[in-house]
Amino acid sequence: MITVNHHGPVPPFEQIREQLGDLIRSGTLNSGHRLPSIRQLAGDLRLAAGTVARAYTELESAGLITTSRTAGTRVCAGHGFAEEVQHAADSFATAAQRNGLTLEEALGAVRTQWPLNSEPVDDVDGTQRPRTA
Amino acid sequence: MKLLAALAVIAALALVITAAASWVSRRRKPLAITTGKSSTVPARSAIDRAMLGAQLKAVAAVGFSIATFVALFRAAIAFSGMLGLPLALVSGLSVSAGLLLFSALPSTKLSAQPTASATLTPRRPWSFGSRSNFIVPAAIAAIYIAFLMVTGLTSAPDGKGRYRLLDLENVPSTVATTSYPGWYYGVPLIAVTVVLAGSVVLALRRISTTAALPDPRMTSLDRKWREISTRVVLRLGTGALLGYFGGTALAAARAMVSIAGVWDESGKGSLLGLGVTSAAVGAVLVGVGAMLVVLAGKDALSIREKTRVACPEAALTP
Repeated sequence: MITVNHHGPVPPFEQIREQLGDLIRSGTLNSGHRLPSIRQLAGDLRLAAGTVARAYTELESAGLITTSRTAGTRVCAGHGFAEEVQHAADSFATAAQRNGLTLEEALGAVRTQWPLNSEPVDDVDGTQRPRTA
Repeated sequence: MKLLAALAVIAALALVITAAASWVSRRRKPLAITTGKSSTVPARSAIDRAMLGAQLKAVAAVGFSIATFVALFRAAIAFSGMLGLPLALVSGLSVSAGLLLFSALPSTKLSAQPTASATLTPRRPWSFGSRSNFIVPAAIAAIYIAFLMVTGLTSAPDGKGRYRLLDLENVPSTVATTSYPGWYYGVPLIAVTVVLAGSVVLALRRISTTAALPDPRMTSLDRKWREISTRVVLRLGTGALLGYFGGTALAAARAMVSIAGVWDESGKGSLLGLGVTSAAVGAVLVGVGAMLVVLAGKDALSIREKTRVACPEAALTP
């Protein structure tokens, strides 16, 4: 299930692209899963077909989905998060909800931590590598 | 000419009803469905109005089929020169008209909501019923067409070249003219079966392509109305098909029994047995067909009530 906020600051096609991308990467939509037709999704979301088509085109360009006339639109394999990431995301979401954080606040915590973890650190043999938790 | 006039009147009536329904749906105040955080379940009035739209479409399909049947039946009786052919086509044509009206009627328009949700599972014409619900009518249609082929192959032309007599030798002329469902009836009946099948597919496609209710809390409700509407369409189509399958079997039985009664050949006994069996099967098929049409009507009238049962918490919200 995806939800589009018609009055939100993010364009509807971007909301669709983002949500579908997240669902595919998190493994909620498995490889080979057939997505609804552009017409069905556009009708259900009360959007123009072109809006959904644009989201599908961008997802296809990113290699997340593939469209064919016979098989319809299907999720491509090999784009899911690594198991370690998925597990960490699950633990983090549980902890954030337990502490009463909103989604934005939780994402803010990740945003703050992200550049800190990306700073390279010196390894014991003198080479540099990204810092890990 | 009378049949053509009746068909023209019915087509015009369908056009007027479709146009009126479309106009009403555009003019009527759009449906408002609560999506704010204050409400935990969809409002009863919103559900009622959405389900009323679904119910009206199904009732209109059944009602229009019955009205068309009555109108065409009266007109077809006047065609004595066509040896009952118009009568044979009435039930298939009338249900096709009802299903086409169902496909043409617009869905209830919902007002633009701040948010809208959608499922990521594709909806197909066959998504809202069990596999047997679709296989059984398809199998009946295939058997019926095969039956018409057999009766066509065992038919002989009358004096005017119409294949409507049972192809047997040494049949007394007093019973030789009894109508038998040869190619003269078979070809139009096969055409009507194809039209009926097409109308059913079109109506099922209409059910699956109708936009879902925008609130994710209405998912079970949305599925329920589609399931009941699918059942109405399938029962109506199957009922009509069984009705004229039974009628055809009865016509074949009548020819076989009347010929067997006066025929002096060795196969007389088996022809009589075949005729009696055909008559019994035909009567059962007509009965089952009529029952299915009644059940379709009953289902059509119960969409609102059954969706309330499917979503009982919604009924408690004013």
